[in-house]
Amino acid sequence: MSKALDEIALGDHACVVMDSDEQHWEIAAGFVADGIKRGEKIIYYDGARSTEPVLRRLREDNVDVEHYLRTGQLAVFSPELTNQLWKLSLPEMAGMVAETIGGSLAEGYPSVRITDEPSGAVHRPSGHSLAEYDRAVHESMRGHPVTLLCQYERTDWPTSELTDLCEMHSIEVVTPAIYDDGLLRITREAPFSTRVSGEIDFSNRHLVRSIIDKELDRALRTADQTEEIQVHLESLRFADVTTIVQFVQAADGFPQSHKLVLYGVQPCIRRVLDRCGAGFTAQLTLREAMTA
Amino acid sequence: MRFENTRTMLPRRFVHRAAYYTSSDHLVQVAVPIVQAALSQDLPVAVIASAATEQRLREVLGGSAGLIHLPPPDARLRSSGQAAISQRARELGELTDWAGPSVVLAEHHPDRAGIHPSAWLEADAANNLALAALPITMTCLYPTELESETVSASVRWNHPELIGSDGSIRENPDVRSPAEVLTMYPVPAPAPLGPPDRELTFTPWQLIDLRAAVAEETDGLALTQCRAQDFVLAVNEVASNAVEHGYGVGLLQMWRRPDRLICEVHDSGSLREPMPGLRPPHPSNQRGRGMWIARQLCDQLHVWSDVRGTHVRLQAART
Repeated sequence: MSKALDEIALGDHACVVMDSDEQHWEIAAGFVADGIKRGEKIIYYDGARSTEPVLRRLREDNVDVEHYLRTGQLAVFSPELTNQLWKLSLPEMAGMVAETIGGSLAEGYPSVRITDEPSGAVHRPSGHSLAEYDRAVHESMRGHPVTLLCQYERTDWPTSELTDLCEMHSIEVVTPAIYDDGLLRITREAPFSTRVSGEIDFSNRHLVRSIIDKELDRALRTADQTEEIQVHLESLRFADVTTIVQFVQAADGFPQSHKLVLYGVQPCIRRVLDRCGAGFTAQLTLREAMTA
Repeated sequence: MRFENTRTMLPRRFVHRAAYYTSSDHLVQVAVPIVQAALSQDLPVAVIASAATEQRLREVLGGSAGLIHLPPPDARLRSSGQAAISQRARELGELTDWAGPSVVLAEHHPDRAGIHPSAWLEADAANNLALAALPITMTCLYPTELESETVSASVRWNHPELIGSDGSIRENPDVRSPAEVLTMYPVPAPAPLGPPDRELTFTPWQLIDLRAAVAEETDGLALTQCRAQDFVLAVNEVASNAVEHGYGVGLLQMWRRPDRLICEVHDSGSLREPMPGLRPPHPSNQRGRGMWIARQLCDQLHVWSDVRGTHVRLQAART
């Protein structure tokens, strides 16, 4: 069964296969943020050295990361610790997971949300298959209020093993994108709202321009439904000058009835927007990032 | 009825004049009527001159009302006329923003802490590009004692109006566009820096690696995050031009200095216009902003070309 990230329910043991870093950070941060909203204890086993970009993505989404790390609601295990898991025997692994769940519930959290990146398990020394570990963990969470998401980077695994791993999970999380080239990812947040994450430069700006133009055109054709076309730039970390000029000129081309609204523009991009005349474009509005 | 189009509607606002002086006394004689004429029209006068010259002007004029002191360019920019003028254009843009049309007097003298004489010709051509849209009347005062091919060429080719020894103004029939001037007298390469501390070749798909490398080097310089990001953007813009116009491959070289980071971007393409990015782009132009913004974002940007291709040196200094 396929589910969107926000459809994951308590008790689900889901997997996701990721094709790009931006997708990875989007999913991991989304899973964590959803758990925080529900008041759950979050256990993050960082097996791919992704802590820094995932926490950055959470901050871009207006999550007060420092607060949740300080209170312990969000617990991150380093790659060194995470990779030790694959040296455990199956009973040891099951016991460790059960202990972690029990400890979290004892802290007073109503439920626990666990996610892992088992990229270190590709070369696991214990001789067990990842499927065996997965079954052991699954047994440990049975009967407890736990949600588990296993994250697999497609490039880490042979196709056949990845297929087997996905088949073991009853739920596969799907995160469709309008565009993802590994450097930049564009997703549709809502009918008239897109999110642009990553970096835009000479290598991809022509493709990005055509995609954004299509999105804007589609929105404008349903003009009676909205007056604002929203583009979320909270996670756009770099855009070259030509791209920024294109945003300004796209807004310039809007009818007076519509506005292009850019959310969460990072300071480095905002400075260039100012130099490109964004302040003089009536159809362009900049707003702070939306709260998580 | 007069039909206007976008070209004829734009007034030619920058007036660029040259005059010779034979001595410091003569310089004051030439300058005073220009200043008085401007002040009588309530126009501010910006003076780019030695301290001695400026003081004498103030003495002769009986006060300093209406005279604005502009400091010499940063010492590191002396040998790059285009970099010095790019910085000057920002200052004059701010001046005309609040003061409106203005008059500028610029003294050229080798002993003054201004632009090096070898870059005067480049600087005056750069003035014609960078100040083209500003309501400024600039008079460049050149010493006759230094008369040389470079000085006479700069006066002759770069100044549409010449001021005679009697103070009269005449049109200069020999004036040429900056592109023509710099075809005759190409922009020189800056002083060599020796082997780079780090270099990498790049294609369009490796611009991300280039940005990461430059960002890493700016970390060592302890720039503010804002200045570091701006410098990375500037180098990226130059590198994007390199892969667009230079057959898809470019070379980045970096030199670490205690107080600055110097980057050079090289490609095998040719320049379509000399000193790109000096002229502010028209708002309706989709392209051409990258180099202009790059010049605004770093402490020095010097473009030159030779038989091997096009080269750009950029510099970020710790403040």
